[in-house]
Formats: sequence, C-alpha cells, structure tokens
Amino acid sequence: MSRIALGFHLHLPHRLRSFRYFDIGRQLNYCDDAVTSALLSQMLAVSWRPALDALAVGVAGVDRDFRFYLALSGTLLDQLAVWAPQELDRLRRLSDSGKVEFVITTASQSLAALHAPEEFLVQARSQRDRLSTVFGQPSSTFRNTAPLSDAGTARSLDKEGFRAVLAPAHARLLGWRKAQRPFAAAPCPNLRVLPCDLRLAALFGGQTGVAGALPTLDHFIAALSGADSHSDGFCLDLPLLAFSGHGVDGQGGFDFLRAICAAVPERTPFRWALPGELSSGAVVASVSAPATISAESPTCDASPWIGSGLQRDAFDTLYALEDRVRAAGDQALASIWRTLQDATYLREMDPSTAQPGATPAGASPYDAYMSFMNILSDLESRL
Amino acid sequence: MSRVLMLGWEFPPQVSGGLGVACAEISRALIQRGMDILLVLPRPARHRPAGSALKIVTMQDYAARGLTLPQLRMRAVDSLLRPYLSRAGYQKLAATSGLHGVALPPELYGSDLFAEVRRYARLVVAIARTESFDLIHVHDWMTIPAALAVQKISRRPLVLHIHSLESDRSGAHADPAIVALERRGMEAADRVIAVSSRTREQIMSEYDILPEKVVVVHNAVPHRIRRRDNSAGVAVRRRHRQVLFLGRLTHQKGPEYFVQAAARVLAVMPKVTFIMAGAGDMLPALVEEVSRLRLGRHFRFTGFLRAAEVEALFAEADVYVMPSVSEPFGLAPLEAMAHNVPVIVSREAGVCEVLRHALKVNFWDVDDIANQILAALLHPALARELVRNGHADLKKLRWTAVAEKIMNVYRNLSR
Repeated sequence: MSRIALGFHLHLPHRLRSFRYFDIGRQLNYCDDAVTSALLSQMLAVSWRPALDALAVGVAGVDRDFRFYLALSGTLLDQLAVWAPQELDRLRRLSDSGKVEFVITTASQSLAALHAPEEFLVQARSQRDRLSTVFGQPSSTFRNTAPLSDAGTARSLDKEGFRAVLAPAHARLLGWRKAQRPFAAAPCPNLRVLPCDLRLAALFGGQTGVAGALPTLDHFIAALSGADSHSDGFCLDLPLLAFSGHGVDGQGGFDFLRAICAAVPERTPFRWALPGELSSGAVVASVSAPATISAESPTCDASPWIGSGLQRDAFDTLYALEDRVRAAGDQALASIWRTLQDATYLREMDPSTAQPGATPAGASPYDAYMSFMNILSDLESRL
Repeated sequence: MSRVLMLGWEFPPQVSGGLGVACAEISRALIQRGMDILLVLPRPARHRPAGSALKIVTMQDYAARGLTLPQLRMRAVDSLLRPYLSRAGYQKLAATSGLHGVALPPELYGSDLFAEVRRYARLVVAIARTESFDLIHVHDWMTIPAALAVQKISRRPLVLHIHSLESDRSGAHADPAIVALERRGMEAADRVIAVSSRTREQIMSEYDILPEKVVVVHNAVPHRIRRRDNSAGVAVRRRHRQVLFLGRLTHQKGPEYFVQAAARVLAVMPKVTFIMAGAGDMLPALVEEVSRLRLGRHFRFTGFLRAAEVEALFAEADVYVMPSVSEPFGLAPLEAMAHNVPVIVSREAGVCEVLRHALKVNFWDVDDIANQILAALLHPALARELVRNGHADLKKLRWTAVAEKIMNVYRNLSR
C-alpha cells in the first residue's frame, strides 16, 4: 500500500491594536489581548476542539491505524498556555497515543527564512525545544510558514539536523515528475523533501481554507484514488479551520474527519503514515527549489506577503531591526519583535485586497501598513 | 428618447466646482453616445442690451473657443444663478454684478435668490416652448422650478440629478425653503439620479422617496484630468513638504478639521506647508484660527483659483486631504490622484464608494487625519503605492459608463 500523511496547521496571530503616530513613545502594548483571547475561544469552540475530538476518535480506533501530524505555531502554544491550558492537556493526550507527530514550525509563523537565516534557525530551534518539552516527542520534520520552501532553507535545516521538510508539490519543485514521493533535497542529500499535494488540498479550499469548500467523502476518495500510481509517501497539509462550519448543524466537517480515518485504508490503495515515517526510507531522486515556492500563493511564490512596495518596505524595516534587537539583549523586546514577524501582518498589507467604500478604520491594507510602521518606529525607539 | 433638454450649470472653462464639471462631462458623454442634447446654462449677459429682461443670449463665445461639440446645442439664460449659491451669496453677487463698475438696475435680476430662481424658470420655459425634446434632465435644486414648469407644459418625463442636497451644503442650518423645493422636485420627477449610494440613502430617508425611483450613477474622472493620467509615479519632492486642501471654505468641506490636523502634524514635523485653496464664508474664521495657533508661516490661503493654478498646486503637493463633513461625491480627489498625489478622503464622501486606493478618515478624527498625513509624508513606499494603484482606480471611472447608466434611466422611462 502507498502512504499518505494527513496533517493540519493551527495558528492564531495576535491581533495588533491600531497604532497611530502619536502613540509612539507612549509605552503602549502592540497587541490587543482581549480581541485575541476572544478569537481563540471562538476558534476553539467552533473549529479546533471538535475537529481534534473527531481526530482523537480516529486515533483511538484499534484497527484503523489512523495517524496524523499537527503543525502548531509557538504563538498558539503561548496563547493556549495563558488562556486555555486545558487544551494543551488535550493535545498531550493525542501525543501520548503515539499516533500524532508534532512537526516543527517557525515559532512566530515568520518569513525569516527569506531574509534572516540566523533568526530563522533561532525560531526553528526554539520551537523544536518547546514542542519537545511540552509533548515529549521530538520531531525532526519541519514545516515552514506558508509552507515556504527553497534551497537555502533546505541547507539551513539540514545543518540544524532536521531530517525532512514539507514542501508544496509544485512543478517548480518536482519538474516533470508526476509521482509524489519523498525526495532528497538536491543541495543536501540527507534531508528529505515531503511533497504536499496541492490538488487534494484545493478540494478543501487550499492552504488558507477560506474558500469554505469541503468535498464529499466519495469525492475525496475518488480524488485520492486517482493519484499517480507511483505516488507513495506524500502529505495532505490542511488548515484545521477548513473543517468548521459545514453542514446544516455545522458538524459536517467533523463528520468528514471521523469518516476518512477508516475510509481511506478501506477504499483506496493508501494507508496513513506520519511524516517521520515517510522520511525514513530510501529515495530514488532529488529535487530542488532554487527560488522560493509556497503552497499558499496563487503564483506559488512569496508575493502574497512581500509582493507589493508596502509589504516589502514593512518587511525590510522589520528585519533591519535584527542587529539592534540582538545588541539590546532584552528578551522582552526580542519577544515583541518576533511577534511582529508573523506573516499574517504582511499579508494584511496587500494593496490588492483594498476595498471600495467607507471601510472601517483599520480595515484597509494601507491602515495595516501605517499602523505596523508606527509600531516598528515605537519598537525602534525602545531599543 | 434621443433628444434631451438639459438644464446644466457650466461648461468649461467657466467652472467653479464639481457640479459644473459633472454637467459638462455628462453632456459630452451622452452626445458621444448619440444623444441630442440641448444644454441650457445660466450666465449673466456681458453686454446687456436695453429692453426685455427675458432676452435670451446665445453662447457664441463658447463656440468661438471651440469648446462645443457638434451635436451639442447650447442656449444661455441671462441669470446670476451659479452653483452652490446661498441667499446671502446671491445678494453679494447681485450687488457686484454691474457692468464696468456700474451697478445694474435691480429690476433686471431677481431681488433675492428665490426670485432669481423663479425668473430663471420663466426664461427656461420660454426656451422650452421653442424647442422639441423627449425628456428633461436637470441638475440640483435651483433648476427644479424650471423643470417643474417645463414638465407641466411639455408633459415629458423628468429626471432630477442630485449632485448635492441642502443638508450636505448647510448641515444643521439647512434652508427649509430649499429643502421643500428639493422635495417637490423629487416627488415630481420620474426618476432621481444620485451621485452616490450615500446620497441615495439620504434621498430616501430625508425626503421619503421610494427606493425604486432613485438610481445611483457615480461620477467619473473629468476628461481634462484624464489626459494627465499617466502613472508617472510620485515625483521627487522638495525637503519642505506641502499638504493641500482644495475646495470651498465652507462647513461642508471641513476646513477647520484640516487646520486642527495641521497643528498636530506641525508639532512633530515642522517643515510642512499647508495650503488652503478655495474661497468661502469660513475664510476669516480659518485665518483667525491659524493666527491664534501661531501657525501663520506654515499656511497659505490662495483664494479661488483657476484651473491652471489648481494644476500648479497639485504639481507641488505631497498629499491631498478632503475632510468633508458631507460630500455627495467629490471630484477633487480624482484630480489629485491623476496628478500623482496621494489622497486622504473623508468616509462621508461618496467618492469613497469607487475608490480602493485612498486613505480614508472620519472627518472629526483629526488625530487620524494627522496620522495619515504623517504616514504619507514619512513613508515614500506608501505614497508610491497609493499613486500607482490609484491610477487603476481612475481607469475604471469612465464617463462613457456614466452615460450608459443614464441612458438606461432614459430607456426605462420610455417604456
């Protein structure tokens, strides 16, 4: 049987408060904790908790051998520790089953890999240590933000001891190959590249999960069965949020999760596997991504985050602070700086998302840029 | 319905504001789509012959300037009316409309604004009796008595195009007589065209007009400035930055909020000049406020400017601000964008409904206005992005599309 790794990413960016020029120097918090904690409660209630419960049922099934991976951001772990510690216990129980792998991400869901390799590794290491401490289960698989992938990042991960990296199964990575299976990363043969199937992910609305799509079980089974016959050992990487709000009672997505646990091994040539299991075997070929590729971008690059002048300016200004943050040696300021690296903030500055009309304050990409730049000015004044 | 009697306001270069520009552009676009327009304009006679006060003056000077279009027929009515006139404004105008410094006999024009509006209506009726047309299309309140009179004698459908309402212009001090006239016009009209959804909502809520009778047709980018729309990007600016306000200095336009925001900007960024271009009844109070704040050296009050002078101002401006309290549409931001100037516009402006790439503010939030001015001045990336993307906004705003929507209104009335 062929193997497929099903996984979900969970992240909630801190909501930033609207920050005006005249707020600079007033010692204000950048994050709106009240809004963020309310959002967390809502996400847990309508999406993550019932979805994880559904997956837990699958994991508990003796015969099904269902397993999956989770990509939790460090930001989310921080939030859960403060506002919903009981959810960490729920995740620990999943970890104790031995059928859930907690893959490593950038702690801040940052794009540091694009510009600040040292900072990227700091975040990857801290997240690996954190997950190991919280769940006692060291993973050596890395899922970058978005998930972005390129040759430079692969080298960094290889040096850091990671054994596998998730990457979008785009033609820019696979070239002429149709079969999706673990490959060696061309610049570093010991690192496995685990392709994430984009065709299957599209059935669920893609990586962002905002399209609200959910296939029927039969549709999904048919699509999976239609995969290239040589495909063996790839990932289906989805936002867990994609499974909420479906069906008359909002439970349709969770029913779907419960159903596929058994349906996939019963009705397709595939069986479930963990990323760590996929990366352990031999490979027959190597692949390389000289330029950055991302599964979350329609153009398969980093343009949704740094494609416009606004985003690039904010990105450059953010990482221009790196040396000063390190020189300051202030852990609290470094933590704030890392919080600001969340890729979500850059994505919110995409001018192509600007809407006509008397949009509310803070709702436009230009508002997001102005507020963010004021925050960076304030942070700079504190360094 | 190809022949339209249009009671317009101005035709370039005789333009004092957005209403005149919009009327001219609408006429031009309708003609280009095959409509036959008879444009009737109020205009005081330059050389008034002795005799009848009902003398109709032709527009030979416009034709001489080559400003007419082949299918456009224009008739001028000898009247002192002009857009945005108030009662007091009319009295002042009447007192200064003499010929070569000699006051005109008072009986020639109306003794007050309403008398002049009625006199204008009689003159228009005289024209209408000599012309053949299928539909009447008029713009704003001063044309309403004329429209009603022509509608009565011709039994032709009436389209009332609302560019601004008395509540926009005068806020809490709205003239009840004007409001009543606006209501009469809207009730009698077969269709009311509003220049924005915001204005449509006002028409329905303040005048109790049925929703199915009110159609939104947004304005577009004036032909004159579209020619400048070249996406050239933000020019290299001087070290001393300029922030521009352009509009009538009346409560409607929110100039006092501009001054308050300027004070906040200057507190942290002294090398900025604030230019207030326009005339209006608030000028003395604004000058006094600037003086009280000791900001005189940072301000320039230009008074009313001609088109060429406005262009020169835009060429020098780093940011344009329109903090209007109430703005049915607002063409000036489009002009600023065409001149590669980033714009900050009030959320109370109808133009917001068609702009994606402008900074939007609540007019009363002077802290935010100042915050956005500073952002536009301090972050070249923001200014560049607003300008570059703003041109994409402008490209979508075509008078041909406006004319098509208006012709749909006409067609629906002919069924």
